[in-house]
Amino acid sequence: MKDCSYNFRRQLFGALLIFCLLVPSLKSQEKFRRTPPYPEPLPPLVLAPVSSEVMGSGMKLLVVSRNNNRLFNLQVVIQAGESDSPAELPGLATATARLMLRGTASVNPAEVEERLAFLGIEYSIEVQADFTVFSFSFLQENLEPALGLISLFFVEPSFPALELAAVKRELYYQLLSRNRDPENAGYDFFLKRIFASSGYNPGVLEAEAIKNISVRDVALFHQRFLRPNNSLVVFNGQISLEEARSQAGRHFRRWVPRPVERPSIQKLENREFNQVCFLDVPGPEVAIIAGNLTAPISSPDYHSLLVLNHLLGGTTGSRLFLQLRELKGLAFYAFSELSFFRGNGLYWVRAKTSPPAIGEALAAINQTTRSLAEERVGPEELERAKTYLMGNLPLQLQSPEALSKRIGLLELFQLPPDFWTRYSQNIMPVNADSVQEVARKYLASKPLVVIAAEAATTLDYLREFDKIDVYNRKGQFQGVFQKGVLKYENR
Amino acid sequence: MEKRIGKESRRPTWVGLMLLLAVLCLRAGLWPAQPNPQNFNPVSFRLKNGLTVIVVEDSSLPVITAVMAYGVGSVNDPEGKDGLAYLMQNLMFQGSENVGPLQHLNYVQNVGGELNAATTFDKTFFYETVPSNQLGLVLWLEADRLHFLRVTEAILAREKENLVRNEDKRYLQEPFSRYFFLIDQILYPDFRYGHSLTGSAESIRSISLEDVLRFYRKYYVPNNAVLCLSGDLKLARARELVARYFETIPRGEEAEPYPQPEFIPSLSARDQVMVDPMVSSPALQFGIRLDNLRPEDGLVLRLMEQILVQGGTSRLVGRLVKKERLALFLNGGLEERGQFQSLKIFLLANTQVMVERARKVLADELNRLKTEMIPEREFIKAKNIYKFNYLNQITGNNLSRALALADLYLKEGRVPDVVGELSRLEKLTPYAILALARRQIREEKFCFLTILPRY
Repeated sequence: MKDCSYNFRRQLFGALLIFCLLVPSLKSQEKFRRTPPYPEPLPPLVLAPVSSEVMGSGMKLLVVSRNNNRLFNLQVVIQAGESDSPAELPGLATATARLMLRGTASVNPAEVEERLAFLGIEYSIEVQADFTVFSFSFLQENLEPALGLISLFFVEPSFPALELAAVKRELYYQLLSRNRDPENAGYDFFLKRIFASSGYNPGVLEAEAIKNISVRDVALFHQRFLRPNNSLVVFNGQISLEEARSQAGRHFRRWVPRPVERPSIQKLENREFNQVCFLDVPGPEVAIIAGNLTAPISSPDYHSLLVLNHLLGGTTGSRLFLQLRELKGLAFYAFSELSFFRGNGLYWVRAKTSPPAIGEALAAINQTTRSLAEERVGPEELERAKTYLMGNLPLQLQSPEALSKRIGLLELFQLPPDFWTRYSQNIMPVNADSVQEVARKYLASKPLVVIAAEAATTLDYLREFDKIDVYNRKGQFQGVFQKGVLKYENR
Repeated sequence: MEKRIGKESRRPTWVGLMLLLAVLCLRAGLWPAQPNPQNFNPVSFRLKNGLTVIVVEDSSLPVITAVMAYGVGSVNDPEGKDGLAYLMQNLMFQGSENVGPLQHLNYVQNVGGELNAATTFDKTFFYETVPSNQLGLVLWLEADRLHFLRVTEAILAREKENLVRNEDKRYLQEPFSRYFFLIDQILYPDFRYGHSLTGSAESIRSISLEDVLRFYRKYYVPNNAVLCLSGDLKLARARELVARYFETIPRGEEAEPYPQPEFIPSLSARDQVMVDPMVSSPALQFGIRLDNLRPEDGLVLRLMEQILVQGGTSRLVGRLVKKERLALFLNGGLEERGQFQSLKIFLLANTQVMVERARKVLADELNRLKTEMIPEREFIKAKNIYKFNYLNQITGNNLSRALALADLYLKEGRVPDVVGELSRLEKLTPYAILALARRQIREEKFCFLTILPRY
């Protein structure tokens, strides 16, 4: 009995010793570490209050009041962009916008630069197809002098010839550099082709055309579009509507309104594109761009389209990336995007691949795109896409500049004021049926395909294609590539 | 009469009490001299295992950022294993006990979040910005890779090859990139301080699994880390979740003293010329190491950097690019390495003659800082830009704020005092730059590296 008890104690001691030795490793395997925690409910998105007013000059004021913030953002949004440049002068809207910050009637270019720096003003100019955004951020305490300077760019512009030459030079080299990337060159070419003969200019810049822009062109463009009645001014900081009205009235008083005419936009329908284009872009990389027309941002299809795009190629977890890169090893990457224009919208797939993989990559893109129209998406994948979209929007609104821009976009695209705050409520009801419906509507028809790569090293890999239209690096049609032979044509 | 006397006798007591309260509040930091900028109320605490946690509540948007920063960087690479700290950063995404390879990215992306990482000379940052209901998720992920990382021979081999491939690609695309490391070797003639952060193909291939695991166990420990959370969260809930995921992770060995360089602080001038068939234009790399710096020099140096090289109206850009047109492009700035800072400038020119003339102008402008007082307007401009950038960093968005806080904590063991920093800035005069330049700028410390194409 005694022995037994002794043995039991020894065993107990041994067990305790083993337990003590195991404690750290047991701790390292605490149960809660095995699976991710269940998320708490997503709080609603509440944005700073926005008030608005139309001034006597027709300029619209939008005031985002954020108290106790020592930084201020001011944006002047012009309802004109590269689509308003004449067809023979692409780049005019961009050159005009850049030139506006290079001197005014009363302040020379060097002095403008010096004053911007002195006031610690950080600025950016974004010229899109349909609008232009001038964004200025500075210390709240410098609001008065900053507004004094910024308003001069609009109220009393001067267009010094020397500065225009500098702007053109800068733009020319930026475009050369941009077009060295086959994806950029391919996308620009894709835009031109998809809107070809529609009467709409998607605002693609051309390096060679930049040199044709004159001071007179700039002055006319300014006179025609950069008017207070064609502008929105977003005040974002410690300011009330009354103060903003008073400031805007004082500083923009001399900005003269004029009637602004913009051509109406034709709504283009998604259609079959039986065309594969090859654009000659020097270099070892190959970009594939494939897409078609969808719907404008104001369409009831918008939220379903967002979900559809995310499923197709929104992130590295989406179908295109998983299929083309992870599963088949056909591309370095493959994503899809949505672009919105005045009255129209489009989806486009972008993939970077190598010459031998082009055929298979294109087949995989088509198959992946079609699968969304043919099959209903599963509930888990759908929920993941919606969770991503609802969770990601607030991340995009973090900087004052981003918030001002989103507020301005509501006006530009004539969207309801609660468009962003109701975003989640609008994503939530999107279901497998509505996704399949928009997929059938927009993804089922054959997309326009652009392959951007070096002709000399790539065309040989494209013998399997029925017919490819070949364009040179300037985007001019060269001929048709069929059964391994390029037949030059004069069109 | 009694009433009047009574009033008079009570008044000083009341005023005194108010004054005392005010002083107590000020001393307790509850009543700052100027209001703190919005959304900036950092609270810090430390877990028993040594992990420092900084929390900033900002409910303006339903978003939070988590920055997990470790006090380890390229300075800790063992000799001959250049690039280990950077490799380690990449391996941290390759899976841990409960998170599969690359699943970290998927977990964050699936909820709409964004993430990234960065390695510097002496710090490594991992950061995620997610919807605020996912605070638990990011803490779970960070805790898992802090203590339960899984690295296999296969994973290591793949990551090493990725690094080597990226390095080759970088050189082909940006042939000047290798000279940014060469100037470091000249400025810091000591392996730990002067070697390349990304390593060479040879050094990366020589890194073994044992090297990686030793490095991970030594530096990836809670007592060598700071966790900064900023965004729409409540301090109490953050404390609770941090405790849940991090408290039981054991403390690691204490960090060794900060590695000291083997070189002597003074540096003699160096002048090298290299010919490279890969580059298309002549270029100049300039560097000057600044040593024996005092704590108060940091702010003055930033203003000096602003005046000299930051932006289109800075002295060097104004003179070299705009006025004399000797450089096609110029940029540069301060870089910190432990107790040292260096001022580095890179410029591209059309011809070798232009590079030589640019060198003289550069030296001239640096020397001018020692002999001429900065004009008042130029000084105010530098202050305005600094103030904007500083406030933008602290209040602009959760990520910039959390990174700034984690960085400062690892460097100086404190959270920023915004009011104090702006007050110090207000008090500075141009004389501070003159005095600093006289102490630090000496031609015998200038290092030049001229890179010429082979025509």
